[in-house]
Amino acid sequence: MTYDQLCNLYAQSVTLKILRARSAPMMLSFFHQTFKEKNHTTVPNVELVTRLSDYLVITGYRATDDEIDATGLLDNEDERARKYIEQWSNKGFLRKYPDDDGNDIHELSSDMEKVMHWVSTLQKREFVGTESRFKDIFSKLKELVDQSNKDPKQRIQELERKKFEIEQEIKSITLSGKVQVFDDTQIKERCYDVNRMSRELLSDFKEVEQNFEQITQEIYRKQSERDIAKGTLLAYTLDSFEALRQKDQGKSFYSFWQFLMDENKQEEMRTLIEQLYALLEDRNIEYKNDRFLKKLKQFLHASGKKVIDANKKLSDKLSRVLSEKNLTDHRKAMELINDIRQLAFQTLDNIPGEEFYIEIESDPEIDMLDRWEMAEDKKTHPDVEFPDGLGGNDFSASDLDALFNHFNIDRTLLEDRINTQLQNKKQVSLKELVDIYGAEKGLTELITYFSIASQSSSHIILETPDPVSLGERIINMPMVLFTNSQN
Amino acid sequence: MANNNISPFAHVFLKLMQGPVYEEDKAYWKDLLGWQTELSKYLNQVGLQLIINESDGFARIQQPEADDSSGDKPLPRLMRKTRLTYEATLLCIVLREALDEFDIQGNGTRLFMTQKEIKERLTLFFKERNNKSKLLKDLNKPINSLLNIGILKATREDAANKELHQYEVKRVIKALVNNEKLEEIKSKLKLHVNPVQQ
Repeated sequence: MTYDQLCNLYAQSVTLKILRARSAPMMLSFFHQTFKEKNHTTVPNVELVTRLSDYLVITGYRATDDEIDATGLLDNEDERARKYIEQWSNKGFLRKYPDDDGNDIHELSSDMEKVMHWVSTLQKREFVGTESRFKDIFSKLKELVDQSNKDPKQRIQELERKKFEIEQEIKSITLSGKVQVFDDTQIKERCYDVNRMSRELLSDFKEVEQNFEQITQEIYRKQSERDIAKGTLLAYTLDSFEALRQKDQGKSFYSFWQFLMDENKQEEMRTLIEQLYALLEDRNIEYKNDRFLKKLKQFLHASGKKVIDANKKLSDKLSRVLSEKNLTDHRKAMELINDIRQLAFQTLDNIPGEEFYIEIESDPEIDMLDRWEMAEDKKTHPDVEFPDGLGGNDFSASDLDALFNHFNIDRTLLEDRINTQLQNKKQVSLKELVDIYGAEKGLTELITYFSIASQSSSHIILETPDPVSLGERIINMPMVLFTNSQN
Repeated sequence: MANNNISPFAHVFLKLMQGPVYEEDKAYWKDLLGWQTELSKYLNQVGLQLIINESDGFARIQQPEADDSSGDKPLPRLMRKTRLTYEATLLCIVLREALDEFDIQGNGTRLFMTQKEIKERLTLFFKERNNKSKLLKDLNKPINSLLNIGILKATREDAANKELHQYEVKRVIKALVNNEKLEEIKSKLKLHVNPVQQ
């Protein structure tokens, strides 16, 4: 940390820029409220602007910082909120990118995560737990040494020692009938630690994602260098793909993901967390109703999936850019475009008129005469009228029953069935449900299952076909999965 | 009455007749790849070709130019040919370039541009007129004609500020304005700039 290095750091580092911004307290508290408290990873631009606008009103924040221009003082809150968010995105405090539908969304940049984490450590904590962390360090040290020892003899020795210790403990419990347990302070301290580490883990995801992106960008940069030999590029690309997986970060991330996706482990984690909350209730330990851990798996899954998805997109795009034909085509196209650009500049004073045109083959031209509709002639739908003598106008209840009884599906019954199945399982498919209970009401019953699935976000409808047999018929339908919303 | 003789790829065929099919249309895309041999055969019977560009994620129907030498009666044109003005042609160039740049940067897979960004790139090719707002208004025309042929697709409307209208630059531009087309544009423009040399 020489003087020069620090000067450089202060000029370059986004993290330090955030800390030095005059709007920092407002910005950080706003982000904390919008992203952290609600555990949102991404927020659409429109929503973020509205929220900030509200926040500026509620806090009565006056724009005394020079982040948005002075003329903006006259703007309304909406306008100012928009300007702030634009500035923050430009400066790298926030990330802004279009989602798949082209709507701008925001997430905190990894620099922002760092700052928020650091600032939160400045707050005076209720108490500083040293015991649990020391034990943590101690057990990590032990694990490190034990698990890296290749000598079988020593390993056995170590295990024997552990065995002896365990036997001793069992003996003393049977003798005294008493178990040594954590006291309230010890529990509190450990709870705090687990919570803190989990939150840190979540914010680390962002950095993982950004690092993956960086590797990909490096490949693009190399690829666009004009004269790089194809072999070199290919080698570099393969290496980089491998690097994505093989670098410490990739390795650790993918094995974490495997762990998270393992059904047994998920179950184990769920039980553990439930037991923990039960314990806290039991001992009357105040946890400020923080359900964070309860939803941890969900958060981890959401953030992890983002990394996986981003990675998949990047590698898809890489293979797109790198295919051999594309590479030569691309260079040729760039040359041609440059030539055209030159020519277009030469003709600035004499722009081609009507006689200059290019023909492009686009969509098929299909005009069916009977599909023509005269705009003026569009009819509104006529009222329903029954012809005379057909059924008459007397709708007795029995008539209606005959019409609607086929559709008399007991929705609650179906929902109960789903819930019964979900008691022992994480998920159950529609096919399994039909296998177990049959579908005596036929198609209508299937459709009701469908509507149950489509109305709850914890149920999933996949595009993969999953044919269901209904009596002697096979109904081709998408896969419907009912999942346990408790997870 | 439902006809049981309908081919299992009919839905993909009909979709293709309506315009390019993109990877984003997940249901169609999967079936398209699965039935591509059958689809190709089917289309070939009526003189059409199925073009699948897997790496860019789109597929379309193409009708080859009638071959005069073969002596057969030329088939009528099914595929619409659209005339692009000079302005629209330049816009194609600008968008094609933007898509290539975007691919090299590597953020995401779909390119979105606002009307403002598009016009900023395009105005470079026109002399600064005294009436800049007229120029900007004139540039709506080429944008509209590319919207019509599906190179641009409107993805966001901003009623308050038209400049913030957002469009997606569809990858089909790579097929519609391929290198062959670029050559054609170049030679045509060359002839315009320098008619004597030819």
